[in-house]
Amino acid sequence: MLPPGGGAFGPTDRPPGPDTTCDAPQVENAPLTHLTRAEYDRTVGELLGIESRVAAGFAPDEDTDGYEVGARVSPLLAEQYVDASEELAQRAVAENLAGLVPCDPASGDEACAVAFIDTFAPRAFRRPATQEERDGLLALYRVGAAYDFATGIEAVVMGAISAPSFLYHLELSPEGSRSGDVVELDDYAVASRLSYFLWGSMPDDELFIAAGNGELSEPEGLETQARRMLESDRAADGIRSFARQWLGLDHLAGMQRDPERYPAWDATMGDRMRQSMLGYVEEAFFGPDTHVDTLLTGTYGYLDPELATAVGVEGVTEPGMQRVELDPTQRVGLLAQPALLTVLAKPNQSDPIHRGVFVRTRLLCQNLPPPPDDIAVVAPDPAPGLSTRERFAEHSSNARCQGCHQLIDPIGFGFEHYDAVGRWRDTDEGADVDASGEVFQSYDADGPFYGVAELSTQLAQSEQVRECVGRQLFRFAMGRTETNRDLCAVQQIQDRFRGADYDLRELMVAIAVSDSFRYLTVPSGANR
Amino acid sequence: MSSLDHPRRWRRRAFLGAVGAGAITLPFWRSLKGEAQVTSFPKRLLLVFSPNGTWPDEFFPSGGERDFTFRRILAPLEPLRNKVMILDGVDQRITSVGPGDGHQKGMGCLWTGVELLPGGTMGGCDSCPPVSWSSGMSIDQRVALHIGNESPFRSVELGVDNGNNENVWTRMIYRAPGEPLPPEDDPRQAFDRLFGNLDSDPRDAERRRLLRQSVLDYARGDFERLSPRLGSEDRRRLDSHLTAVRELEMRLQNTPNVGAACEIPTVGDPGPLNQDASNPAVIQSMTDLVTMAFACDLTRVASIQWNNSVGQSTFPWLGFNDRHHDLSHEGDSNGAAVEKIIRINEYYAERFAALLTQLDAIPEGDGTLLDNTLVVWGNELGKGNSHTRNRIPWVLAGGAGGAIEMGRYLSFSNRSHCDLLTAINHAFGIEEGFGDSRFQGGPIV
Repeated sequence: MLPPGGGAFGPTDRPPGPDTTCDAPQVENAPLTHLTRAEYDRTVGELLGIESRVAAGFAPDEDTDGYEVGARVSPLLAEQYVDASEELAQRAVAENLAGLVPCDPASGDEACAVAFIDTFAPRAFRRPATQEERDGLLALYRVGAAYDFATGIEAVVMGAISAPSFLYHLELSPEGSRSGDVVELDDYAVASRLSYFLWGSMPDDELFIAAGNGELSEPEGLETQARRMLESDRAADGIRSFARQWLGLDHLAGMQRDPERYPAWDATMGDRMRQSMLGYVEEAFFGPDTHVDTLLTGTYGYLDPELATAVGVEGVTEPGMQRVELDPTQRVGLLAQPALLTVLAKPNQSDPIHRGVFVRTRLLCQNLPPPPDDIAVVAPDPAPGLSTRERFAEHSSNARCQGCHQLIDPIGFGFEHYDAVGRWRDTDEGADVDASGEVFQSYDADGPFYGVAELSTQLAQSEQVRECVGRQLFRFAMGRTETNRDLCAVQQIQDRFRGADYDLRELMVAIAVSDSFRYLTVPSGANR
Repeated sequence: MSSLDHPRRWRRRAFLGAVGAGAITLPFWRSLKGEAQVTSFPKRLLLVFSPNGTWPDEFFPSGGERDFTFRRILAPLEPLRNKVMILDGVDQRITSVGPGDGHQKGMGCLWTGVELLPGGTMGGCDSCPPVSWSSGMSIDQRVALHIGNESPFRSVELGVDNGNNENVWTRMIYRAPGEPLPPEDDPRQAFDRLFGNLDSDPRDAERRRLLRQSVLDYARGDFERLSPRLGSEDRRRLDSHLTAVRELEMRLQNTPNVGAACEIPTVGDPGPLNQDASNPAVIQSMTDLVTMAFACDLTRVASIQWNNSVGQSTFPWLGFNDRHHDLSHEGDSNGAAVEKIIRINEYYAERFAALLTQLDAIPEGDGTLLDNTLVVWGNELGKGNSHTRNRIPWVLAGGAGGAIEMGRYLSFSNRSHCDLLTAINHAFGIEEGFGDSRFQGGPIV
């Protein structure tokens, strides 16, 4: 588990900076991880040329600060890996044998199998394969070839994707290094980090070649590849995966709403909302204007007519998901997107608490203490004549609640123009909505505001929020939360982000060339 | 549309359609039925969990140790009263120490009896303190080390609707400190894993067995080459994966000791797993699977986790759509909410009674499978709206072949639940305390 550190800072603190000079690279230990479920499916798809959804049924990945991490392989998952290798190898041979092997499968022989192994094994292991490894795979081919050529190839594929060299993000420290040394990752490990960060999948041939040429150990070469990869269509997969985890969009699967209050809600809405939110974030990262302001204060949305009806947006008439300009008096920024507002709501009412907490933890990167252990925590039911704000009045009248809730509720009440499906409303239980709010105890985003439009604009000006966007992407890219030993990298990233006028694509490049991304700390106990 | 609705649904059959091959199977249990007549029957342990606390006033019986009267929630157990034991006043005192909020500690300590590890940042919670996994092994895994080696599966973890995240709220079984075991929530996948598909073409089965065996050999070689090059912590992770692969290899050769009542259960389609309306059907499937896994001696240790801590299941068939955890937070004065909490816990008690009845329907020697099993039903909290971990609603059943005498209602005052965990150890012949030694006072029964 990660030691507490740079990832956790309290509400009143300035975001912590490094406590040493950053002349020499520093980086937190990166624990061994396996492919996440999403990475597994995309990787086998790329490797075998077949579409896979098999990993959706695997035991879930660990949830670390909202990000999926392949932290450990349980006996259940180990068995699921073996079952999946069997199923996928059979499918690959049945559906795509000719696409896999460098010969006519009808006349396939051992020479063809050897040639196949020579190219397949390095792709499966994401690094050159040793002679021993290739010999082992050839032995598997021979076991299967006792039946026929296709079965031989099936055995090779099954073996390769059952091996830890395929299943894990292996980042071995170099020969002769000592525990605690900070050393450069080898080029192939960097290539994998880069492609799983930007594409959520394995490297392509060009990236393998760059790794083989030693180009990725130089920041310039790494940057060149990062920029090339960000131009690719595959980069959308990476950023969508980030958005899904950062914003908690998996909660939309199977989400239910009170049918009496939200009659237009049906079982399809969760998925529509997820697509809508992903479209919004994808445009912010890859659209015409990639300044961070687009993410935080954009006035566009992606909606289809059914979703538009359910959330009360007019003028969406074409079938299918489409980009629409939203009313800038009602919808400004990420925080006004119906999907996020719905995730941050209860089935029958808005949820100012979780909306406020979201801003604190996901946009300001501040941790909050938990409620007192012995307190009855009850979300008051909607009551005729009482506004949401009135129903939560105890939070400010009870001294034990007030300390924390002052950090949460005054932000959350600013969202009161949106109901539990993100529809705009002017009244709540018959009374005019009061969406006035205030941010307290941030580093540089304090002050009163009215409604989400003003809040979003206020947050978009904040260096703390901009840095937090970088921290969230860092957690996604690294599969772990930053600690004190990463703070030089966090600072490098933020300096570069600022220097590039807060361009989100430059932020991604900045993470890729940061020390935390390029170096590792040699763990204790390795036998080299 | 969501890829999560039907993860790998009927994947083997779907594959058959794709290639038009003959029946494909896991060949391991070909000899499942009708082999040796068994004369002695193993003891088994089954842990059952439901979340978010109960309503104590309607849970705990009235009356004395043997002349107790069930109140509303446990009334479904009346026909089984001689085979169950209710414990009042047994508290998760261990949760007075260590990091974590009420639900986190309640869940992580429930079967481990030790505190949570301090951590970095556990997801799944907006405002939780830095906390990690439990610092200990859970009681079922301790028992499995002792009795689990003679069956193909050392233990089997099943669940119902435990979400799509792995965090301290969704895991209760721990193989080792910091190593939670995930439950299998999909009855179809659980069926495949436990029973495979028996009507296979033997030639095809032989081919699959050969490929599997060779592939596992090959993978093991890769593990062994890599392991020494890793740091000690990473090596531990990789070695734990390798152990699982070895166990899988052993299972290829291992034939279970089959009881006469062993039959392959039929698992119907319970519907989409992320829809609450599927809950009764999924619970029934899991009940069928665990019953036959025991009867066929595929395993001797199992757990069924009916939803996770802070679970937000809804119960539309009870006539309301409120989310469980939200409801559990309503105040004592909200009579409508209290009634719903009672109904939900009653529902779970009905499921528990059905499970016991099914286990009890399988004769083993002079008794039944239930008699040879110790079933323990727990909850991470005593009561939802206060988050108390005192007066956990414990029900024991079966008694592990007479090791614990049933038909009783026992009241304690602030007794540590480590003493219950210790009693479980003793029931299986492990003469050791269990849990944090600061909270141990000897077996509770």
